[in-house]
Amino acid sequence: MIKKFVHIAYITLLFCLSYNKIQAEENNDILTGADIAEILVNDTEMGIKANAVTSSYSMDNKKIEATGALQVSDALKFFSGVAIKDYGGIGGLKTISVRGLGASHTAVAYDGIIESNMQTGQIDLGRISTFQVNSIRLVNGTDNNLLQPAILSSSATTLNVESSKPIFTGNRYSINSSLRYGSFGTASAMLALSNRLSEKWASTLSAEWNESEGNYPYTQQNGNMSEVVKRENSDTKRIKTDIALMADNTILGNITIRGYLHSSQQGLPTNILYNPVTSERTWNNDCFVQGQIKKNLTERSTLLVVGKYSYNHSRYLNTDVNNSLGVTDNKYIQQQSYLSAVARYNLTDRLSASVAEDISYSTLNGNNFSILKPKRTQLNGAYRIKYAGERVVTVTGVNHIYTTDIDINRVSPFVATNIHLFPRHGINIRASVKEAVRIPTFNDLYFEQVGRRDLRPEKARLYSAGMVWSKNYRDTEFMLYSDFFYNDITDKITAVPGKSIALWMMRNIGHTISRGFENGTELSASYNDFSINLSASYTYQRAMDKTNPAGTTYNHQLAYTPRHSGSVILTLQNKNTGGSINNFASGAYYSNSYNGKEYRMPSYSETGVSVWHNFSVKNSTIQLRAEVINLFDTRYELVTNYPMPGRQFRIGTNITL
Amino acid sequence: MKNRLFLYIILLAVTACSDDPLFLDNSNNNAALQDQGIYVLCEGLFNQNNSTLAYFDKNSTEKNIYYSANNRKLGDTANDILYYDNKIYIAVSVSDYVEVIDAGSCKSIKMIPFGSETHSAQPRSIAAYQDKIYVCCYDGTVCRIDTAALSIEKSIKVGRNPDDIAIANQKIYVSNSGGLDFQNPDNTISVIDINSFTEIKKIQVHPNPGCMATDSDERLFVVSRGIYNQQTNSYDTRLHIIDTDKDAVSNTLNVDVTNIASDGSNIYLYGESKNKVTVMESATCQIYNNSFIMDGTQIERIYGIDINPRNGDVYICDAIDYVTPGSIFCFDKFGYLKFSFSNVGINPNEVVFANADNLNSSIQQQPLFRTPTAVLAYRPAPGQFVNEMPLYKEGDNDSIMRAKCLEKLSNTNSGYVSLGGFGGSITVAFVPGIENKADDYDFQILGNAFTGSAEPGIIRVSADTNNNGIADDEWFEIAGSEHLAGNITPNYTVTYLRPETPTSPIEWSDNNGANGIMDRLDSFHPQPYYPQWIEENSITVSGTLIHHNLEYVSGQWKSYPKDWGYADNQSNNNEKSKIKIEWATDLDGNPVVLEKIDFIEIITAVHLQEDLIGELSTEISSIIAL
Repeated sequence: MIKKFVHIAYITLLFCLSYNKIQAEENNDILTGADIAEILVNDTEMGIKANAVTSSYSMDNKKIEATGALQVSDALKFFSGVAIKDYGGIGGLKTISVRGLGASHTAVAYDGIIESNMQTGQIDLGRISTFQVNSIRLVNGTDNNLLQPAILSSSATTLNVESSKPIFTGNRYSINSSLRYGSFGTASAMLALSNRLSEKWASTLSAEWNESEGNYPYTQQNGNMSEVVKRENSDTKRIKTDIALMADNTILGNITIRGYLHSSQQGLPTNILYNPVTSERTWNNDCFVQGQIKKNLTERSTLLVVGKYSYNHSRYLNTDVNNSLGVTDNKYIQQQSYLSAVARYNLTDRLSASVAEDISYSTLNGNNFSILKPKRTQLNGAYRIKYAGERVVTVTGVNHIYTTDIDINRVSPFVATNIHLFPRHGINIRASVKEAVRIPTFNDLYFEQVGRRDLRPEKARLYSAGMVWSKNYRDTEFMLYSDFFYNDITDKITAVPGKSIALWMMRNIGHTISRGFENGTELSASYNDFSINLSASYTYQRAMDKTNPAGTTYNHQLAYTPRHSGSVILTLQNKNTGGSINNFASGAYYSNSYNGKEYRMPSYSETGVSVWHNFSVKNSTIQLRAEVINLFDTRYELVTNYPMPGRQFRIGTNITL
Repeated sequence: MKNRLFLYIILLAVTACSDDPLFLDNSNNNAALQDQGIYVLCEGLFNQNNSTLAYFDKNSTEKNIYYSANNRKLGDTANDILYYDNKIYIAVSVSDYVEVIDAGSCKSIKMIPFGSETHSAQPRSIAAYQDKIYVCCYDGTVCRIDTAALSIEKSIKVGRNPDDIAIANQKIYVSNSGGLDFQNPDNTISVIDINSFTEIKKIQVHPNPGCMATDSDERLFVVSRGIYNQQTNSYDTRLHIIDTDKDAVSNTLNVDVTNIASDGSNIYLYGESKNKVTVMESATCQIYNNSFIMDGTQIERIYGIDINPRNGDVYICDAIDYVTPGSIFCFDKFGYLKFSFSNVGINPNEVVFANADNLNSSIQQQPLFRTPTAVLAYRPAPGQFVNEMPLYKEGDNDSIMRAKCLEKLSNTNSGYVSLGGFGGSITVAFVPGIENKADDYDFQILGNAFTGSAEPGIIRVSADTNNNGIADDEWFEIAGSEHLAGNITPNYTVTYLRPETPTSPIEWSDNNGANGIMDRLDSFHPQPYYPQWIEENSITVSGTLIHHNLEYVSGQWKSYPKDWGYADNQSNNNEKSKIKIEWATDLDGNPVVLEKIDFIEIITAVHLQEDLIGELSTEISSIIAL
């Protein structure tokens, strides 16, 4: 294991250092087109957030690094209003639920293009690596940017993972590589090679490999017996490769084309008392090709066309099954073709409108679905108008969704506004109202014995209001925000026991009201070579079951949703050395929808520390870093019986040329 | 503006307060248990290691007694529990072992492991016989464990995924469900000889056999769930009755059934509608109680039924929604709730009784309701159920038939007494008498009425004013809704003639000059319809006739009930089947005031018959003092 790692590290290093660099004429970052109909007080990251019509949280690549996150899911837990469901450990499935809505209400987009899983409706965020990610942005509702595919406009929450654009500091090539090695046999090597092909065109080729044995020790607490056990069958292997071609200002406008291949395999560990058997594994192979063309047709109009084809093959194997085959071997193949066209027109210098139409065709083949092979053609439309005045930004419109396999044809309105109330004091207030729908997935509808074909979409009515106070002075920026939210979710698609415990059915019978507030602050300051960056947040969330007033769980807090949670990330850098400390804390929560004291999971907090130093060698930068994850070795479980790892160490290096 | 803001703040505060979570009402009624201790096994949820064992008696409630006694958890998905010879055996299926604990202290004596490092056997159900314990495992095996050595002595192979195990007639029966192959289950029962512990036969049954029960005549009852139908989202179930002498299926009932329990002479079953219990006589397969629960107690999802062998109390486990903690309910043998415990644990699936093996008759519990202490007269008119309910055997006389009636009336689940056609009657005594509670119901006649099959009988009451224990005092008739509306004919008289051969139709004539023949339904009731133990060759009866008609609705004859005040008229869980003593009237129809009554007489009060249903006759299963 180590040998393999060293081998790859050596080759990467060799490759980087032996390359000839060619001087280029210009220094160009490839930038995406600007949104011209918006008057901003300032166009910094913080300024964009202050003017956003709904609350949004983001992390740039520096902050992602400061959290030590190798996967997007690890960075997300620091965001306000987010509860992570982590099925334990290094490779476990990770999904997020924002403001009590559930994982399916969050749309995940990669460079503005949706990632979708019609089978489960959930994206495993543990599979999206943070390498070559420029920013992660979470928008709670409506985005200021009208030039977005319709499907992103229609979800309750959008998570946009933006990839890094190549930065050519005077050369035709740039290389970014990263190596990490840490506890439990975790190793990863990543390499991105960018090439300036011509004045307008550039390409990036990246490859990643990571492996982890995942055999972290955890304590199996059983009364007064407490045994330290090593997690078994918890290994993960992943390789990913990605090639992108981009061009600016061509005849067709700005073009990006990307091809992506990902293959992973992992064991699914168990924690059954007195029974050591652990016999489940999964394999996932994904590939997609996506492209987008953005062109300013006239001075006032812009067209964005997006296309994507994706193919996903996943396999689940359990070798300890008492059926006649002795195994359960399920294979699923999902394919989706997607096309979106968005046209934006600036009616005046303050008023702009956009029309977006998306069409997608998805199919699923699997060996345990009811007779039909599920297929769905889905149309999404978004019709938006934005008014951006000196002190007011308002976005309003309707989203439309139509699907062919089940009878859904629904129009959902939304409106959001941001008012720069006291410009001298930097105070903005914002409010938004939106309806978002979540369509039943293929599993909900068709999965053997559980699916029901007469499901309706889940509806969420989202209300929020808040305030932002932002100030900047020379090299210091400061922001304080407070948002109150109220989400009313009806027709929740819930698994309900049917005629026997073996026979669960998906039905539209839940009703949840989730309300709370998110408060936080962001501060960044620099003085000469010293810089400090601080983010801190606190979320209070009361997500209650309101399904049946006579029911046993009426007004009980939803399972796995703590009422209180908070996070802090502090980064300090002086010249070439830096360090960061991060902390995530969660109050008590319940592992059962019935909040009996037997099901109360204790509060916990996890702290991480990292330090790094940058060396300059000729025109390249080498960074060495060391991290401790879960410094105080806190043991906790996010999902019952899936223990999280304790303290881990990691060392690594980033090389940028 | 300010006021409005203030209002909103108040509103917010108020709504915030009204969001308090409610917790399950812990209606713990330990005292009602009296001297009986019970253990409740709760399965928990798959992969959460949260199976629990609860214990209740009059002094204590222990929700997690296994954990308290042993300082460790029971494990994951405990499927079955057995009380045998002062030890309790628990099959903890997903944790792959059988736990043996001392019944008194609940301390672990031994954890018997099953399976291996790479294979889970999944022990599922346990049975015991003569110092050996037999465990069937989902991997297709049955293991024998000696109760002294507490280790697996021998293991044999049976069919696929054996679900339940039962012992009858010196043999072990195992239902091979094959349930893990969804669309291709198994369809056999393995028969294993106890002495040699080898499989001697496989009996073919409806696919997916599961729950089993035995009665005191060693009959084996098996539920077969069939193959799941994706279109209708349901199972196609059967109940098999297996003759354990021949080891063959003797009868198959096409009923909606998921699980069953037996008290020795009755089978209690529930099906896909998870909150209704049906009771069936095990010897005859007669379903005579379509809805065991009499008082409207709501059960969300029945997950288990167990009967206390000492007193016939019926314990029902309610899993609620299979995710949140469930409850248990205890009903007396009449179907009235005695007590319940809520928040017992997740998926309570079985109740076992302390000292179940050693019946201690001095701890008989008093049922909530009283039944007649004597049957003074049983004079049925001819009818299709006469000589059958109760059963007449050659040589029985009047005194024996009355004793049989008394046995039937002593609880609601031992069958009916049929009064035959118009004028047939039964007279019972209550010692002590039944007090007349002002403005409240005093007694109830339980019959077999359900919507569309009322067979009303008149009720008459009498007080033993001369205190001689004989019903020779003045009789008063309970005036029901039809009396008050004038839809009656008093002193209607009918004479029935003994037929030429016992199984010929019976001729009758009345005091209006009408006559007719009582038809027979030979395919259902081939026995004689004229009471066989009486000497007389004709029966003349006289009493109030209720004007009644049958209605032909959707291809069937329906007999809709009268409003109130009659026997076998409204269904048993309808309040209008209850009777108040203050409705009693004298011969002139004037109300009388009675402080208490000691005798009750019930007389069939309709004179009708129709094709396919035969004649209308009043049937009663019991008379209870409220």
